[in-house]
Amino acid sequence: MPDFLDFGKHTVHVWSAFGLTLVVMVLNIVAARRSLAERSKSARRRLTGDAVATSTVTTTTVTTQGGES
Amino acid sequence: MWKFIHKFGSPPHFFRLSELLAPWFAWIAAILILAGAYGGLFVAPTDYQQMDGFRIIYVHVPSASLSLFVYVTMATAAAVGLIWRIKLAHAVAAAAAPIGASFTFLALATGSIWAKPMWGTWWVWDARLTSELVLLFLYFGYMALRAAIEDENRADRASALLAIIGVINVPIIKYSVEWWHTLHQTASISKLGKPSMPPDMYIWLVMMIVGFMFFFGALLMIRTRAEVIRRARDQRWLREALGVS
Repeated sequence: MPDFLDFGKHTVHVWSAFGLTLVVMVLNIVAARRSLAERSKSARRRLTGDAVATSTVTTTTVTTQGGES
Repeated sequence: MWKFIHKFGSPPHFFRLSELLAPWFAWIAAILILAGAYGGLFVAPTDYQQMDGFRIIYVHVPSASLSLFVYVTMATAAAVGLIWRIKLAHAVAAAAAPIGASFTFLALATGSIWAKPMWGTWWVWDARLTSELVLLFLYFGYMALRAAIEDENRADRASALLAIIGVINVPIIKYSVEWWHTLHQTASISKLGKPSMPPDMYIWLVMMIVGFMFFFGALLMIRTRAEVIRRARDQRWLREALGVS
């Protein structure tokens, strides 16, 4: 092990504490980004679905009215 | 004041502001944390008593401070949501909880790793450690309560009450080392008194604490955006924000 990474009898404790901190930070970043991506995706799907449903209803109404006249 | 609160409580305004601020917060956090970690590990002098084991302070104290800071932020947001009926405030509180829980866990875990060589044990049921563990359970309780109630408004109100009541634990954690005889050492940094560390140790710790705060700020904005999207119905601003025509 290079000298500058060696903390004597506390090497394992120091590096495990810093390592764990890195893991918690990375997991936080991944979880936050994933949550935003998933919510945006499902909202887009919902909004596009709503738009398609609305246009289908409008088309049907227009066709029906056209048929009756 | 009223106008100010309502302007900041508006989701479209928050969306624009958070999009602008989150990357800045993330970059400031990255620079401070990298510099602080480097300084704490390789530049700060070795402690005469704890030797290099004291370097754990550079991750333990910032995560413990953040665990309290996040809780106060969460409870304040919950109170604002409850009093002024601002939905965005409830979204902020909901977004803060998992971040706070993760840093409370980190504070407990790094404290345990530090305790083993210094106290000869991973854990003792002393006032500081026990009250910090209670904080972790408060975060879990808050998240479980939200998840258990289907109706969004009821979930907001009930969890806000729990968050506000739980604030009583914050001064207990903070002053536990003074009120009771504990194994845990007293505060290294105090707003009023002189720090109990020399400046060449102290400066890196301050850098890490501020870096962790900015990191939380960036995460909170991203998570709140997700929470706002989840709560939003078919609104024009959301269509514009997500680029849906």
